[in-house]
Amino acid sequence: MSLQTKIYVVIFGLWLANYLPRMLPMVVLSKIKMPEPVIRWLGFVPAAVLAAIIVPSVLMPESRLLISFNNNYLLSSIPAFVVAFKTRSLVWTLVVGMAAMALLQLL
Amino acid sequence: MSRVTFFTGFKKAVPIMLGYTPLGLAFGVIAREKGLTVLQTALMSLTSFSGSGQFITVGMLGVGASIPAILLTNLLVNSRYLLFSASMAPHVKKMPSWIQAILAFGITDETFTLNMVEFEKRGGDRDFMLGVNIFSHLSWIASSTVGAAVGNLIPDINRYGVNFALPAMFIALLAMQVKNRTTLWVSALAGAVSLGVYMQIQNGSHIIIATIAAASIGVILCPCRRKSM
Repeated sequence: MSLQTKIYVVIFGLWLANYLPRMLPMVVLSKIKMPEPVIRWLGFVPAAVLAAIIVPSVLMPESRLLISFNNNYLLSSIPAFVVAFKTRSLVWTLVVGMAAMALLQLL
Repeated sequence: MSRVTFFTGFKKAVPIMLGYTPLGLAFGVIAREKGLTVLQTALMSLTSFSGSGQFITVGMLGVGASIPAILLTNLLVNSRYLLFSASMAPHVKKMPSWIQAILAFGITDETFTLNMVEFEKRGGDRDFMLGVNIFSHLSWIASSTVGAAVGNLIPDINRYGVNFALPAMFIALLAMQVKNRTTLWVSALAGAVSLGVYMQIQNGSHIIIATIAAASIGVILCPCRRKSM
């Protein structure tokens, strides 16, 4: 399969993977009750998946573990975490995190 | 159709649109870097409307991940939409299914949060929700298309910290999700497992493995009361 074909297959699959989880519960499950453990499991998924994405991307920016002052991702994540938990604001976290990264790259 | 309510939705969506703009620009630039055309970038933003999922997707395309791995990771990342959608359901109960199906298309972390706040004031209002969803989506499509179109004109865009846009967004979303000690522990566990797996295997499966493990351990070990969500 060429890369171009693959991209279109992925775009189509992505549409399904995005639309079905948004649409089905609202349209269908509003009439049915989900089992309690399933609801609790789903309740943990958002936080778990986000943490699972963040930790390696910050500690292993070039696919190797780098816990040092040379790791700009690790350093930028510190103010980003502080602002995120203080403000719970997407915009402010983005501004502070990106500014920290921009500054560190200047040094 | 109430035009006034629709544009009230638009006004409330302005902060969301401002937040999506740098993110969309960054996505467009990265998508182009990883081999997508401007049209493909616009198409993906139109059909998916998922910042986190789209960033992950182009990243995985860039390292040559398989289609099933990409889609499975997206399903997991998007599983939070199941919850969003389910918790919005009672508020749109009276609307016909096809309206619900249109409103569901615009659910994101941000539109969900905004709409849920408004439900308390005005109840489920079709036109208000449409206003929020459509204008948020338009800003996402427009900014990612512009990013893809002009990205190669800006030399070394990462100088401006754009390479940290995605981690910063995930950190903000995580902060919104961590509401109690249990979710904090589940997150820490997921992060540790993910790191451990990623040190061994680097094909994108670390996210799936860590999420399933941490959420399952959370359900098994957490002595939660019923309805504690």
